[in-house]
Amino acid sequence: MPTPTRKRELAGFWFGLLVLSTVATLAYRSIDAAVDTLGWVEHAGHVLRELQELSSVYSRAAGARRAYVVAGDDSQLADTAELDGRWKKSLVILRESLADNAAQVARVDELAGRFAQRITSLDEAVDRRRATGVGGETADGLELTTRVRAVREDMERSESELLAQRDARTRRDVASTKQLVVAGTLGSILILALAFGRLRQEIRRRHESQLALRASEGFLDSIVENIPHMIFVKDATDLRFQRINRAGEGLLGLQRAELIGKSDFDFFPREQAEFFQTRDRETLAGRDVVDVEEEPIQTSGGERWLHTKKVPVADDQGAPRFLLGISQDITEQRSVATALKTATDAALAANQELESFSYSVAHDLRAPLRAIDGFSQALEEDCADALDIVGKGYLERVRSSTMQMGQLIDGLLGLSRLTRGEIDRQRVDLTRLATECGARLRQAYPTRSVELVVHPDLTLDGDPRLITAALENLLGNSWKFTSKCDAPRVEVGRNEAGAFFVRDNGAGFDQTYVHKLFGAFQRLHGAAEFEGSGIGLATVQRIVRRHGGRVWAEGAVGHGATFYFTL
Amino acid sequence: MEEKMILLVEDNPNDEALTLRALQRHNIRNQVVVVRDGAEALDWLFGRGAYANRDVTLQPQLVLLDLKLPKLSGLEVLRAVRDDPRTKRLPVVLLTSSSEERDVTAGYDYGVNSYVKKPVEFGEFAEAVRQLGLYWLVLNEAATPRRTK
Repeated sequence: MPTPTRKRELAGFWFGLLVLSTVATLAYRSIDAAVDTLGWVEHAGHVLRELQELSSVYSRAAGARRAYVVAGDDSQLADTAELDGRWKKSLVILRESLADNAAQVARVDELAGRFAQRITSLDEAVDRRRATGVGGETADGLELTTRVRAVREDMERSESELLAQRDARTRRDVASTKQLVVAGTLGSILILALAFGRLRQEIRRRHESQLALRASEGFLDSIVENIPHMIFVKDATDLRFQRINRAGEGLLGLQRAELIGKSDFDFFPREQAEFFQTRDRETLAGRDVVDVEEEPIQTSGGERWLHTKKVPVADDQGAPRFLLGISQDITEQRSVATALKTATDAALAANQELESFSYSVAHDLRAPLRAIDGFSQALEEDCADALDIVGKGYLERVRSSTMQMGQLIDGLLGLSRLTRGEIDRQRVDLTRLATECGARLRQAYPTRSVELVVHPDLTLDGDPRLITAALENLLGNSWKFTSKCDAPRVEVGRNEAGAFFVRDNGAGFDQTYVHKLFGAFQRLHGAAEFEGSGIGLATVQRIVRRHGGRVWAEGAVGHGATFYFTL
Repeated sequence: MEEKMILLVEDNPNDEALTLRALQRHNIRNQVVVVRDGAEALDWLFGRGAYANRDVTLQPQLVLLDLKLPKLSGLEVLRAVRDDPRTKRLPVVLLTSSSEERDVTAGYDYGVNSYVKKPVEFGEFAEAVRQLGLYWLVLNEAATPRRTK
């Protein structure tokens, strides 16, 4: 499909051709006409010369006879036969030459008649002279001569006029031809100049685009060369290397001159080369990117691990022509990743071991505890008579201690349970959970009267089971530490910064020891003052941390405590 | 006369003594057969090994099965019991010292009839065993082979 520009170019070409051929045709025809005129000029000259010849030969033929008639000298008649032949021949030639001009032919015929008549008359005079020896010319001779001259002059004039006419026409023709040739030539020059200008422009344009192309190629080349990953191009048909960049040379430890035109089989072990080429063919067949996550190659610098992406490069028809490959050297990353995985595995294993250890410790600790408690009670029940009040008091202490230890073990087990399992995050209505938790606490401590203020519309994303456990610990703490308050008040809400908080006006704590607050078995109050296992806040911290959040506390002795957390 | 035996699988002599005492104190007079590990429990139930001469048509009314046992664990014993047509309907109660959920879930997966956390406090423990005894041995008839459920 020709573009508009090409259409214009074609039209210009055909127009130029038309102009040039018109000029050529006209010039040719004009020259033809001029040549024709020249022929006519020559013809006219020929006629005039022939007419002169005729006149002169005839005059000599007639003159010879008259001379004889006058002098009677026979020698005078010697040439007459030859001269007669010549003027008759001239007449024939003239008649032929003027065959297309009826008026001239008539004049020739008149001349021929008159000449024949005069010659006959002269011959009669010759014969009379020879017979009688008396000379004398007939009277009609003079009239004839006059008439012949008149006819001859008519003919000459006629021929000259014709010639002049033709000459004038030819001059006109030549003049117009000249104009035409000049105009045509000017037109041609113009067209040529336009064409030349166009050509120059085109050449310049091409030159510029070539320069631009070269510049862009140079730019692309320098990009390809400077990309710190190996980039290679293979021919889609024979999978030979067409191109490789500097990083590729460095990685493979080969110069590009050694690589270009070669295939994988020239550098890699057979099995590996087959692996690569299979991937290449897959890429070209699938016409899509193929990602080879990890592939080891043997180079002069040892084994390197590559992450390679292969892309088919298609031609205009969509058929794959090249295979483009980009390989990243992930050897270091890989070793780091391997080390990291080893460390993670070790950490996981250690964690698992610890977990199973704490589980079995907690589990196995319970058995002797159960025996201590069980047999204490058996002693109390079965041997009550053998014990006095002091003994029974001791037994009571044994049993309350075992109970406390049982709670500790339960706390430990609960804490270890928090480290297991996935976090099941969902929308949690904290307002509702806190209110429910408060209700449970009221039920558990019916003698306590605590004012619980829960802000409305508190929601967060978290594991409801774990959030409940955290709330129970926090609210439980508040309940516990407000037990010596006159007007215990617990508030659950959210501050301006978006952190949730549980605040009470209870015993509070010394901010100096705040860092010990969240450690397992850490207590800031004596057991006689407030009971507790020292696991509650450790549990809260673990829950919050498992959600990726932060927990902290503010407090002052006697002025209550506030526990903040974000998730 | 119906011999309503209880099979107690317990390796810890203290727990064994406390369990027996609890049963006794609550007037559960059934014969209590005590075995001390999982393998022995299965030998007894299926009449193998040291118990090759036992009449295996006599099966206990209740198995009190400790979770942590030498040789075969309580869960392994439970699975073997459930896999055998002779014992698959046997009431089995798992005794364990923690309410760790994985124990509970696994136990129910293997078809345990009940699950009791061995309480540290004697009263709780005795009450649990008493409840079990009343339910399985006094109030309720054990499933007979004809009953389908």
